[in-house]
Amino acid sequence: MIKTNERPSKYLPEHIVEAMQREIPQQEKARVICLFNFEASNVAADTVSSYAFEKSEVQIHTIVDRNVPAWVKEGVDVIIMSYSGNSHEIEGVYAEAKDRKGRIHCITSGGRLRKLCEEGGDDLHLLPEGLTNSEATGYEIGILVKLYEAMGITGITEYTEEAIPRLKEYRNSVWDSELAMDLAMSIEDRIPVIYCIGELRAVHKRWKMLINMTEGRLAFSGELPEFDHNEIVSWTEDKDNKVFTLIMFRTETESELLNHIVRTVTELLREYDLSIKVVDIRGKLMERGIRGIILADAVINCLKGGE
Amino acid sequence: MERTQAQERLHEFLDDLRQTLDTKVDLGDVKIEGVYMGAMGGSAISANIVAGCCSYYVDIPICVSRSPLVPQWVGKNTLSIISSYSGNTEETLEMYEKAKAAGSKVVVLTSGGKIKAMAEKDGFLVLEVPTGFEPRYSAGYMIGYIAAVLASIGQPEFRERIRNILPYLESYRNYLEAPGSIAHLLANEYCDCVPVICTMNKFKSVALRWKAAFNENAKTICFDTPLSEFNNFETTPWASYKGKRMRLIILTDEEDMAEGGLVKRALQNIESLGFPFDLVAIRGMTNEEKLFRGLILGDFVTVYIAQAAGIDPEVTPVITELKRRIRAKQL
Repeated sequence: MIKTNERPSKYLPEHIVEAMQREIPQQEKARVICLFNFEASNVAADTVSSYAFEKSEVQIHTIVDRNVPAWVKEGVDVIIMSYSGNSHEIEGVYAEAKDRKGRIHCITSGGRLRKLCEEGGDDLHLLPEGLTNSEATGYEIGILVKLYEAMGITGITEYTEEAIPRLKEYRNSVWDSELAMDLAMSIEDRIPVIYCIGELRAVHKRWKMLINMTEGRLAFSGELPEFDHNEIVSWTEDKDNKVFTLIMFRTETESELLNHIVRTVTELLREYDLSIKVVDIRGKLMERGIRGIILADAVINCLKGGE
Repeated sequence: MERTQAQERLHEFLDDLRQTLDTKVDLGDVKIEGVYMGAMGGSAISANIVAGCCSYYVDIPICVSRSPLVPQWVGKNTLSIISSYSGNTEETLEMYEKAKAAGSKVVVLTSGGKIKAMAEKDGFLVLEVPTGFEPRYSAGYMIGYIAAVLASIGQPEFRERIRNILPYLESYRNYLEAPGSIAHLLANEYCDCVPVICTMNKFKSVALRWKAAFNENAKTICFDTPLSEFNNFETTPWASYKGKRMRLIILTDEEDMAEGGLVKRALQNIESLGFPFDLVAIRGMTNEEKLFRGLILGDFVTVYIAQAAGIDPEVTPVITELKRRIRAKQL
């Protein structure tokens, strides 16, 4: 249910840094990781996993479900991440993963998940208590980065530390900026629909979650380039397409083709009488995802009337 | 009454599936630690359906990707199933190149085009789908072939389960084709709305199919949203929504409506806030039967909507134009 105290978080980079101070002992090297994430934790889960997607041979499958896949067995690492630790699905997922002899790691601020993990003698990483979902994201990212490094996904800590100054600079540049104000105005009277490439799905999830929770308004999302194969038809033919504002994120990836496709579709859509905002985000790997999250918070902050 | 071309294709979906299910596939002696399925649009949905079913009993991970960015873990112990109906989808050609470069065992599903020529030249198995229809109508062939490929690597359960439910699915299809069926009823209900399909994760592939079918067949904007996110974040926004055209559809397995479950909690939240919604509960003896019933139902509903509105579900000029521009700039 809605948390009334939910608000955008200005200090995501600082929260990441704070969480990364934590020392996590070396773990057994992971081969396959099943990452269950509940409530708003999927923003952090997808953000950090995007690094491994491009840089590591460890298979990471992020799951928001109570069903534990049949391939979870001895030797598979299971991470259960839930800020409150009280999601309804947690007990079932924990019991099933334990039954299958998966190596269990829990990231939470407390609740039933903490209790289960302590009683089961599993690897437990505690988040600070009393945060909103938005504030928890930075801490979840920081802890997950350190845990991944300890599980053998090498380089992720150094990469994140190196990106932090640029992320702070970016936050300072977009907070209360014209860009944030312009985007805020574009969604003020229309239903926002956020599109970005699949590897940046944490970005559209953050936007949607913040608009739902802080504004109490509907928002939707989708992914590129899949958009080009079906959704584009309705955006160009449905009579009610002007009820919405499309926010489309462009970013440079290692695939020239993907970059070209995203550029081409955003250019083509401009030829239709749609409300569309195209946002370029720079940076590599998960840095660009974190930038997209920061921008979401900056825009919602504007909608709330600024600092 | 005579069937339209789109209805004909929907009717043949199960025939296509039956025809390809027992395809003989020999990949030699391979040790597979993960399956990567790469495809876009109409070709990708088959992969989602298979992966959704298999997660309950296949003991190796199956990943479905709709991006030319291929995960780093794809390697020599990976089976890559690359599907492109036309064989010329740019994203899929890049997936193929990367899966090959990573040293994975590649199988291609296509009706021809560049990918067929490339795979044959590289000595990979090509399973052919007939030409002449829209990619989204190739799902029967694609699912049947994937089932056969999985059986060849020691994972026959999906194929067995599909074989067992085919007669029941055929009866269901015949029912949906008859006047007055639930598909006609829903088509009448959803002919002028923006549907928002809300499902549990196990029905995600069905939600994706409904969304794409509304987009392409009925030319209607449609969204999907996970039930877990709906319960956590979206009920208050729905209660505040004052517009008329958005329509919330909770699409679920009938058995998931038990007390304490996600669906029941969603219904209780909605009732407490008092906003309108539809509940479409799918019945079936197995998970596979429910998923396939859901898939078939969405297809028929959207084709009936198109038919009533005088829209040709097979014509999507903006996609054709976009593909032309993508290719033109690359040359």
